[in-house]
Amino acid sequence: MTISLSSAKKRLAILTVEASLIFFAVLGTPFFSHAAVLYSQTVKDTSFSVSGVTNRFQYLGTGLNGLVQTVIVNMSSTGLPSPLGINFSFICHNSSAHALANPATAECTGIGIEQGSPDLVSGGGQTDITWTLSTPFPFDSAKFYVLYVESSTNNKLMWGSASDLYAAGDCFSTVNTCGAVTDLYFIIDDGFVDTSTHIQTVIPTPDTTVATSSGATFGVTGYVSDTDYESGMYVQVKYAAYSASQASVANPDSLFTVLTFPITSSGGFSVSTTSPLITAGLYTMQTQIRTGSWLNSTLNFLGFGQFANDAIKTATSTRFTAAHLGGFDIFMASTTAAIEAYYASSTVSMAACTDWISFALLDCLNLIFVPQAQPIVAQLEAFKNGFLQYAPWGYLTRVVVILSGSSTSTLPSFTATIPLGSPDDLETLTFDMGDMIAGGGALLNSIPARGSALTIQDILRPLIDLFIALFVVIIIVRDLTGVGQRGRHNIGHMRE
Amino acid sequence: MIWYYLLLFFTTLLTATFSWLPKIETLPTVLGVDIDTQLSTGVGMFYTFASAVWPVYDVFLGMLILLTYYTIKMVLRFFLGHRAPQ
Repeated sequence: MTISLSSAKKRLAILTVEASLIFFAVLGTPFFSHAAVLYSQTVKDTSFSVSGVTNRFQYLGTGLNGLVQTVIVNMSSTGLPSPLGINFSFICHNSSAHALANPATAECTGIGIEQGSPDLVSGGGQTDITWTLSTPFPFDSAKFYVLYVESSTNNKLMWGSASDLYAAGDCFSTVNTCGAVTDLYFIIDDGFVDTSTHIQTVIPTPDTTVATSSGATFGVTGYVSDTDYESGMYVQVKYAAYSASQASVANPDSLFTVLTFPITSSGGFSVSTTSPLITAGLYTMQTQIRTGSWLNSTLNFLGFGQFANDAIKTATSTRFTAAHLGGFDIFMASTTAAIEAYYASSTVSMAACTDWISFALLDCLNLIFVPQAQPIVAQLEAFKNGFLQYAPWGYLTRVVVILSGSSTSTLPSFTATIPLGSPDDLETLTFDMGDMIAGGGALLNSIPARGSALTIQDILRPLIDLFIALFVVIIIVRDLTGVGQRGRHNIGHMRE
Repeated sequence: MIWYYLLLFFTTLLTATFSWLPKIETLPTVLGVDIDTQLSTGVGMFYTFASAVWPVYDVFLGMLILLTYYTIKMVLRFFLGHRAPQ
């Protein structure tokens, strides 16, 4: 009997630990999610001409794509130093406002300034001086670009004709004259880009290992030429464990996971999504650009889909390895990321503890011992959405989540048919419980107190709340102190 | 930071250890009855009723507070055993 009671107590205690953890963890913050972003490129064969403006920079604006391969310059001056070098800078800005305010100061990192010094022979007008960039400069269509030109000796060159650009300080001090760039072209060449229909890259990268605990990102970039493009084209990605491609089953295709992405126009495309990888190990991945046709659509519609054979424009077959992360890997990765996020969100710098110059004892103690609300809430939420959702205790978690929700549901309505006098004289009454309770509640809450501007609710609710609060406090104090429970232990001893 | 790290440590350790278990996001359907939907609807109806009839809501809150108290007390007993306050 004693053993049975003890066992029951343990089970009850375990259950209450679970319930308590749920209570602590039911604090809401949304999931964090992330999505892969892939580089997209549209190929154009375009040249730009900038001339006739008295300035040393040109606003090129946004929407530029492709690679700058060649710069062609026309010069007009009779007094330039010899030899003359000039620098061209494609200066990148995130916004037009920044470009207007600070045209010569690059705002974007990683992609911005491309400079060089083609040696130009001075003296007299020169036309069509071609400068081939050693490294083609890639444009980002979302950025705002300014083309900036100056001599390699930091003297200024100006746009426009030689006769209208003599501003103070803008001339070559050594020769006291000014040169002029009368015309400049830079050509965005598609010679570096394959404009045939092709698959450019696939993700996961071939022959690499994908570390994943649940799924991976699958993506394809490529190009569809104008001549190949048809309405209904799509990219199909099929992947399966490598053993599936060797399987001797009736329908090996059933072992593949198939992802489909529509292609809505010719030109470059970039698609991606996430999809689960069930098992670890080697995978085979088949990527195809396919065309749908009215015949195939009709066959599918009529139920003869097995005869539909969508044309494959191009295809690749790659392999990758999925390595499932172990518990320790997950722990290390998430811990590192979470600690870094904690530092990033902290209002107190880590330097308060680690830096000799900025050391501050109170701030350091604050950082170490005082928890910040937002990370703690986020961590409790992660606890609820992680550990507490696993079976079998996940069922209890779900019940608590439902009970602690705040959403309301419409109450049901019902109808009653009442005979009034004769059997044919019936009256149907509909009762809407929602309206009834809302009306009753409004009536209950609006009853005025005699001789007062307050309602009965205004007067009684604080008293009832006080009564309930006192009741709760008394129950808790009674339980803690044992007052009024003198006979409880005696009864317990008698049982044992 | 220390409390956060401890919480993070136990959370990630427990989550990683039991990650092989299936996740429960909804209650099951038994004999054609979707328990999750039924319970959600039922609780939602109660909140509709309680929002109009405030004494019911206040009493319910009092019950929740008591329930939380008893839960905390039982957790302490689980961890501290006979050393827990009686």
